[in-house]
Amino acid sequence: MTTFTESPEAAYVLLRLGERRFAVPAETVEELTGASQLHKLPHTTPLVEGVIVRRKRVVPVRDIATQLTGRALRLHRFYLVVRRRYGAVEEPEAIPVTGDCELLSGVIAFPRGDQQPEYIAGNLELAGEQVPLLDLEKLVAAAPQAAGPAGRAA
Amino acid sequence: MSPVPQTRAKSAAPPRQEPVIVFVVAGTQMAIPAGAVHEIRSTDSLAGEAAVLEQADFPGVRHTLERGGTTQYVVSVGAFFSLPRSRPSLVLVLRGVRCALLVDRIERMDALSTIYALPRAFQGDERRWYLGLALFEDGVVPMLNPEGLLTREHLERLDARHLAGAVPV
Repeated sequence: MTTFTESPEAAYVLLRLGERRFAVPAETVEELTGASQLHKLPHTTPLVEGVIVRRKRVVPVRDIATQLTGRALRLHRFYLVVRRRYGAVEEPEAIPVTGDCELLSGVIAFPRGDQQPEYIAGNLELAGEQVPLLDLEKLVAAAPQAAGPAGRAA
Repeated sequence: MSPVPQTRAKSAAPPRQEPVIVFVVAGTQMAIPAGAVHEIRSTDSLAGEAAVLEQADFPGVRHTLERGGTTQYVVSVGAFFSLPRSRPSLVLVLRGVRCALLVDRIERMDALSTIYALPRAFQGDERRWYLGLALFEDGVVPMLNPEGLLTREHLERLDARHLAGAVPV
């Protein structure tokens, strides 16, 4: 099997959504923060739940659990704050996760399988478990698009 | 007015404070620059001036006001944003746009030195609806764009319906 990356420095953050685990490149992660008050506002963007305030910054909250597992997290204790890229600009975005996250380094990512969607950049093999490595930009691009003439308090 | 970046400008001078009106619809707080509001009227006081607009394209628009020879469309903020049903009691007649807002009540007047840009994660019509987000001690409140609720195309379609015949209340 060919390796997805040869970089020995590659590091990943392992996150849990319900019963499933996923990984994201550590370089995209800003912090893991405890539950913050979610502020909702009317809007039409699917899977964006509202915003939280972190260090006087307004950070949108994106529900990736629904997209990846088919259901939103009923309970979550943490937000994983990641950096999203919009052209030349980066902005933080908070992902609700079920529990603690884990930093992994020295792990080799293998290429994604033929049947896996494009937003899976590869797979980490951890104690016999294949953990999908997410490409957050492609994941968001694959999300349903805004619809409806007016918003609803999400 | 366009949304300002999320980072605050560094300056020795104290930031300019912008007065805003915070209002409530169905328990949801929203704000609008005070300078955008021409007058605030009770729905009772407008009963003789408003006309019913029969149209189905815009569920949030049911009434018109005639001001200075211009028709202003009264947007029910609750219906526009699909908020739970509430009991609006005030109309914010806006300045310079052909739109008035039907709201439940005024929460307070406040002053802001910073309006945070709407995060780019929001990709839908909300980018037109809001000037940005206001950060208050008790929460984050969207700042309505007075020109963002009814576009020129919306107004043209509403004008066509209006010309077809408004019914005095």
